[in-house]
Amino acid sequence: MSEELKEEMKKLKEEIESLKEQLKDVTERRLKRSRGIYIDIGNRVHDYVEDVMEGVAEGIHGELEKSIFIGPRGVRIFRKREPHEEEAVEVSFPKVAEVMSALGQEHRLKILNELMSGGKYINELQEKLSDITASTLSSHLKVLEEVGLVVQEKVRGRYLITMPGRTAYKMARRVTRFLERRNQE
Amino acid sequence: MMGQNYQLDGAILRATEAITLWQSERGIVKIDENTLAISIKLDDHKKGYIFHGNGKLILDTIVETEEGAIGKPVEKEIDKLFLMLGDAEKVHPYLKTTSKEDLNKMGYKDQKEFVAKAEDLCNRFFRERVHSRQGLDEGLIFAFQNESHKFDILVANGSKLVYKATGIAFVSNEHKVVLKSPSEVVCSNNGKMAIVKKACRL
Repeated sequence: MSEELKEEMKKLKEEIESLKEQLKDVTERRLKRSRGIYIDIGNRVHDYVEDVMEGVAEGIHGELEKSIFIGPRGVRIFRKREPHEEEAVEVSFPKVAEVMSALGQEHRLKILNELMSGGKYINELQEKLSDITASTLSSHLKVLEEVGLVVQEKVRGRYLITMPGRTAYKMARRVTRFLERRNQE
Repeated sequence: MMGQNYQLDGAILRATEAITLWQSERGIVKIDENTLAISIKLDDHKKGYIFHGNGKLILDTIVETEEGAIGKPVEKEIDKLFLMLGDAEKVHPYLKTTSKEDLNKMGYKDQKEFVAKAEDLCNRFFRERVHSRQGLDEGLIFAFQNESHKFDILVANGSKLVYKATGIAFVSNEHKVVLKSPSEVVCSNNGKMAIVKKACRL
């Protein structure tokens, strides 16, 4: 019984194969008659469309990433960066050293830490940094102001941490924390 | 030619002491002693002055945000003729009639020369501007001449402030602040902010 079934299935398969061949011949003849050019692209059209769609989606995503930054406290929108603007982002090493030098002092870091919670008058800062004199505090503030990490209001006289100042302070803390963890491991 | 019904008073005055023309938490406009002044009248009421002397404009065009402060203070010496419109009555007690010597000290031959320059300033200021008389009952308008012979405008009324100069526009109303510089526009409302940058340089 099973042998008969196997024989039957074999015949059916052969029949299917022969029908496929016939169908192929018929299709080719039809195409030749219509003077068209027959190219077997199979699934390639679908793949191509998918590739294009993926490319477009990536492009849109990339542009959005370049132009909009959604941070924890708000939305920043940036215009598309042009190649020459990328070049302008490059900073000189002496300038980097100047900023890092301004950061590289314990009391100046303490000042930045105090200003992270909001603008402060010099007497408020003096209270928090009682281990240094008023003139030393002033000179530290001057250093921070010169590199743009701190700005002083001219009318009220308060000292404020700037956006780069905040970023630099956070960066310094993160790097230190990272290194400390590494050393502990 | 003068704009609308504004007239320059004939009398030229001089500041008897340093005067703070405007002061708020955000800024100060002050003039030194011996600054020359001529009043601008509207329907026989003093509605402002044109000053020439040494003075100072200080403005904290800084936006405080949760991500740090943006902007820097404006600090300018005022040594050219400038205009002030608004409640000018409180200034009057500090002004007295000037002498030819005072005019000479400021580089003027006579009163005519000063009046002519003041008129020219007024004409240039009023030519392209429409002013509401009611608007001048409150607050002050300052027009400072800048290097490119245009006006840096400061409008102040209580906590409301507008400053427009070359490369900067600053609008402040208590905790709402907008700062426009050549590289970015910063809008802040109670510390929450939106920044539109021309290029990211952070």
